[in-house]
Amino acid sequence: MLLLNDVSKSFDQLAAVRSFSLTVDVGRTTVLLGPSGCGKSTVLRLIIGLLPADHGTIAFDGERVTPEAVLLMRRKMGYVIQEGGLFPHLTTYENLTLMAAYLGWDTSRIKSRVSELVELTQFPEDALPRYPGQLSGGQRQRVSLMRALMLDPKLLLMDEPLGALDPLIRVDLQAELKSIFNKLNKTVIMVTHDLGEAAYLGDTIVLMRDGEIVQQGALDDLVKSPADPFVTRFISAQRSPLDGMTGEQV
Amino acid sequence: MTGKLACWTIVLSLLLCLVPAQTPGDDRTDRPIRVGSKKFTENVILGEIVTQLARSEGLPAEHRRELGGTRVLWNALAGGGIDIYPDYTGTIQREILKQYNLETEREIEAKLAEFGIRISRPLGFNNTYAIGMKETLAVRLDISNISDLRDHPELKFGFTNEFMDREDGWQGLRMHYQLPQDFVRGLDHDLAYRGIDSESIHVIDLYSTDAEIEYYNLRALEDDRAYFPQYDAVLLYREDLAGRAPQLIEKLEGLAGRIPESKMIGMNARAKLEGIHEKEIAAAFIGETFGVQTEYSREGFWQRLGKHTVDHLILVAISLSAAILIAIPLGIIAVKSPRLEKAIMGVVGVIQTIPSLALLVFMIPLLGIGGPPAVTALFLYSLLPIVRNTYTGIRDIPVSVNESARALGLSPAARLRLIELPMASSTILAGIKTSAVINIGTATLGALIGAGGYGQPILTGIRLDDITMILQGAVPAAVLALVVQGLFDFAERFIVPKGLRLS
Ligand SMILES: Nc1ncnc2c1ncn2[C@@H]1O[C@H](COP(=O)(O)OP(=O)(O)OP(=O)(O)O)[C@@H](O)[C@H]1O
Ligand SMILES: [Mg+2]
Repeated sequence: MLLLNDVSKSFDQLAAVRSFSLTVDVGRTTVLLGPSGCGKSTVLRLIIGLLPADHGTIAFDGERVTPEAVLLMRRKMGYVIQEGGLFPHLTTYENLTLMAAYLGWDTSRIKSRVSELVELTQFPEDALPRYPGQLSGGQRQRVSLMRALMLDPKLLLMDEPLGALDPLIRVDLQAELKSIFNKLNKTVIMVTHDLGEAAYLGDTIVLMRDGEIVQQGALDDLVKSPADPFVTRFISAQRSPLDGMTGEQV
Repeated sequence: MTGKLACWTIVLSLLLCLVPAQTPGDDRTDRPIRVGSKKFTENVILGEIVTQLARSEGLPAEHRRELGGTRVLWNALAGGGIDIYPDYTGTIQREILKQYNLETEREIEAKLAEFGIRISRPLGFNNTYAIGMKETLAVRLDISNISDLRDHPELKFGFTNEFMDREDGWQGLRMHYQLPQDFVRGLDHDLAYRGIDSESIHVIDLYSTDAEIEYYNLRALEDDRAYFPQYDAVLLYREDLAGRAPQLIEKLEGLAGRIPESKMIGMNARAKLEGIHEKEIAAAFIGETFGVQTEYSREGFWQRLGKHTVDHLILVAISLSAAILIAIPLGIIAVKSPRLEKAIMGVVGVIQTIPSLALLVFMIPLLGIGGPPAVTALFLYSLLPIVRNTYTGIRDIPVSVNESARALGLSPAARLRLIELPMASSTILAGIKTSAVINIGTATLGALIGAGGYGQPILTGIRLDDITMILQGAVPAAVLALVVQGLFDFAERFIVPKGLRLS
């Protein structure tokens, strides 16, 4: 489905991604984990062709991602950008339907697709006519998610899609996402900082440091046979707040 | 995409340059006779006399009054923008044809013929340059000749800008008489009289037929070392006019010697000191001289205001719309192509640094006089604010918005139309508004090259020292700027998407 082979990208002197190789199978969810600045977003940008790779190849659906081919490929990918990236001059509804309208979908099809998505993400329907500037942070993230799902893409790239949500919706949405992924058999690459979320949604976890893959596999593998002391440090740094409380009581 | 846009811009620019270029040299014989005049009262009166004589012969004629200085009129005549205008022999010999060092009348006539220009016989008076100062001061310092000025280096000189630059002007005079003064300023002739009256300057250049010489009690100093040549008033006209309107040429030859110096001073005085309109003065002269009753229309206040408004609006509307059509694509190209960015921003920036008056005058050799050169200059002047705002408006779109537009798979053209231009719209509109306001103000200078508009009453008002007249141009120009600004604020509600106007 998606193949990255020995991909590298530098910004001036800084090597943001180094000899990165990854295979993602259809229907699988891969989670990119790693400290801030390690190159997670850059990997997503390379896949969707927002950045050209300095070295190596990327193939999607059996076809190489090239500047010429990427325009059409993007319509088969959904990208949830880290900062939301909503269009401030368009209403929520227009943000969602921009691309579908551009591709000439008829109105009834657009409407029913929006209804599905609104239901899926539990987005308040009366907020559809509002502008992004009039939404809460969590609502904006859901709009961003809905927009990525609108064209029913084969591949979903999500850069911290649930970052600004309150824990209740977050847990709800994690469950929703899992069921969407399973039901629709979506291929997903997702960036998160939340180990729990990674474990819950990811089939494979890819742990990165300084642009390189340190280890990839199921969470179990990472816990039980870490390839590097960094793996253990990274995992144990994220303990549940409840752990600390029980510790004090003893 | 960028390439396509660049092509279109070039094509549009070329079209735009072609359209006005067609107008000045049209050779239709049935078009009205165009009479020009320089921007001082005597020349305007002479131009008016020629115009009314033409009309009395049943020829359609229009008077392009107070067009500017010698260079503007000569270029317009040689280029066919006007057919005839009054000038002076000394000016022709020492300024217009200075590089040929001609001495005799015959030589001058032959040289003019090479340009397709003919010269009439002298009208009668010699309006020579003279150097003048207040009678009282002259008596006190005992100055009667120009040579006497050598003993008074402290005197302050104020000359017309034309006199400062002319071959037969200040530079030559200074050398000829070895004058030591170093306080020498260039200023408007009509303002110079007020300056000398208030003694902020002591010595000015005069035209010997100026009515103000007597009015302000000035002494014209004796040119004791014969520096200034004869400045006999004549008419310069295009050769083809003789073919088109032989009866007019005949009539004009009848003017030879009919305007003695005293008569011209009298007419100047009536215009400048009594505030009588040049048309009325010219009609009276023709009545006395030829016994012919000429018709002249004196427009009322509202009629004049209407005409100036229409002229002004045409200048602004054409130049501004052309600027919008060209500048927005230029701004887009500048963002999209780092290669062209420097060139575009550089060129447009440099145009803006050219003083507006200079830009107008540069256009004359290319496009003649009147509307086309003024529109072109205003167009060039209006580019920068729009180009710059289009450029920054698009460039400052947040990276995340840009990325998500690209990631959706929108083509570059669709991104421009659906995302970039709407998001930059308020900045672009602000640029257009700035351009419009600058344009309306600068368009008042168009009157200097015969484009009419609100600058016309301002120009006439300065010449005649008539504040009311100046206000008739200045007030409507300011009102127009405010109205246009208001219109743009109103348009903003429809053009700028609502989502961007949320506070
Ligand atoms: N356009 C750019 N120009 C220069 N450097 C860049 C650019 N984009 C990213 N970088 C650098 O590349 C490195 C990787 O950035 P990236 O955004 O991929 O990190 P990340 O893993 O997504 O971090 P975070 O978890 O904070 O989002 C960082 O050091 C960043 O500063
Ligand atoms: Mg990131």
